[in-house]
Amino acid sequence: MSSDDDFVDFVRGASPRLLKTAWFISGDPVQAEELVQAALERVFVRWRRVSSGDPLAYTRKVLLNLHIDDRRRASREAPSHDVPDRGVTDRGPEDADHVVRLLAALPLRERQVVVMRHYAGLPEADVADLLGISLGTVKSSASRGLAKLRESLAREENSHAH
Amino acid sequence: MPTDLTDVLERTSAPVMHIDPYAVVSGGRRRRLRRRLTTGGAALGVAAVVAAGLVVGPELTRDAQRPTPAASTGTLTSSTVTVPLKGDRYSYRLASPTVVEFGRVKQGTRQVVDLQRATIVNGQAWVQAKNRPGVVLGILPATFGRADDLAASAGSGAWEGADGRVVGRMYATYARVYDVPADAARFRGRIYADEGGRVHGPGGELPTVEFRPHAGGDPVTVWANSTDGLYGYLVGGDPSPTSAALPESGPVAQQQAMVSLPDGRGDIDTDGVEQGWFVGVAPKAASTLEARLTDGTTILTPLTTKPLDGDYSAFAVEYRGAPGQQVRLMLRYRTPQGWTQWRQAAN
Repeated sequence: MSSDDDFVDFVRGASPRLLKTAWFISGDPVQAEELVQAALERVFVRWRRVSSGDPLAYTRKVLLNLHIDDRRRASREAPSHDVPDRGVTDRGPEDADHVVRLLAALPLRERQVVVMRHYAGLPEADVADLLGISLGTVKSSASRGLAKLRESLAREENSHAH
Repeated sequence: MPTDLTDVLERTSAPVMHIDPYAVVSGGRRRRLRRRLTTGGAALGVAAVVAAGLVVGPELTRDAQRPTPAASTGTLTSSTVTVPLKGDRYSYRLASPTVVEFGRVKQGTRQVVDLQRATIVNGQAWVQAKNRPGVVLGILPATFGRADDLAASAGSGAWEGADGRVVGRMYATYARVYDVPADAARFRGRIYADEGGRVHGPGGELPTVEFRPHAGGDPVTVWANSTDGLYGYLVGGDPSPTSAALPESGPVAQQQAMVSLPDGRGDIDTDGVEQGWFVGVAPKAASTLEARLTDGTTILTPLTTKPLDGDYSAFAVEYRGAPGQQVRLMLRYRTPQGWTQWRQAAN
């Protein structure tokens, strides 16, 4: 099997979860596709080296860095006057938009930690390594992030109850 | 909560998203090539060229060394040729099939500021260098990238060609070669432009594009599978390149556009450029294209710029925004059945 075939297999196997991870982080499926595509292209360039280690971990790292780059670029854009129309519907907790909205309310660092811990299933030490932060920061970010998610859910449940 | 959250995240249905592994491979190859070309001037000859066993050296044919107003013809003996500018046309006979790369270098340096390649079969390549400090012509073996996934393209008026012949015009702009799978439901294209993104053909015509998924073969209507074919790509320029592989200070910008077709989710990314052209393809049945900019300006464009193979025509719309301003470009077209939904492009 050629190196390209290996890579194609890797993309096929890893991309579904990478896409969902990127979607949780970015909140936008189109941006998620762009991020994963761009990340995988970078992984391809280094595939020979990367494939002997943990290519998925490397891809996640590239993905998160690209997302940060995108946010920096977007922050330089002028704000739009337009407020997008949004329908108001009663959404359950498994509603995709609902989950992504809850995550989007978290600061980026906390969102990254929560998604990496609870969707990617990485141990705290791996999350620390992936994000280049200390173990303590991972723990505190995860704790704060989960607390905020709890608060948001509780608030929504209360508002539904009234 | 943590276990619950894991459960909720797992059970959450993500929107339809897809990654084409072969598009990733092609994109990775281009990225690798750009890295090679920009990380070492000497590498301009490109390792792949040397590997092909071609003679590497400064030899130029007499015609190429002394450009004349008329088209000149020679046999290319070196893998990398720097052609002085005079607006002349150069003709080289090439092995077949061959991938040719055209790049532009900064005067007095070996730094490549832009690059293009195309696949040629059984033929010659002409490079017309006009008002440029120099043109670097590199010949790569077809095996460098699979010829059939390079989808030799005539794009932006920068390329014209038929089987066995490619003419490249190296002024104003040029287009990257595209990856267009024959069964593409989506495609990804990249355009590199300079001089403020002004794009025109030799006669000043608007840019159009054709795709040839297989080098030398009959043109394939790659959008045949699309159900509502409003798609295209953006060309434009500003002083801030978005690709790390391009020089930070050059007047070159990388544009990209990505458009999903069958699910009706047109998503077009102008990638930070405030003015330029949106060049696209729409059904021949479409009579009018309407584009709406951020400030409410509306542009109506007839959709008969250039008929293409199949049921499609190419069109172009110029858009402009104030410096630093975010541009949102909404596009829709009218068919006998009525207007399509708006699609949005934004930088």
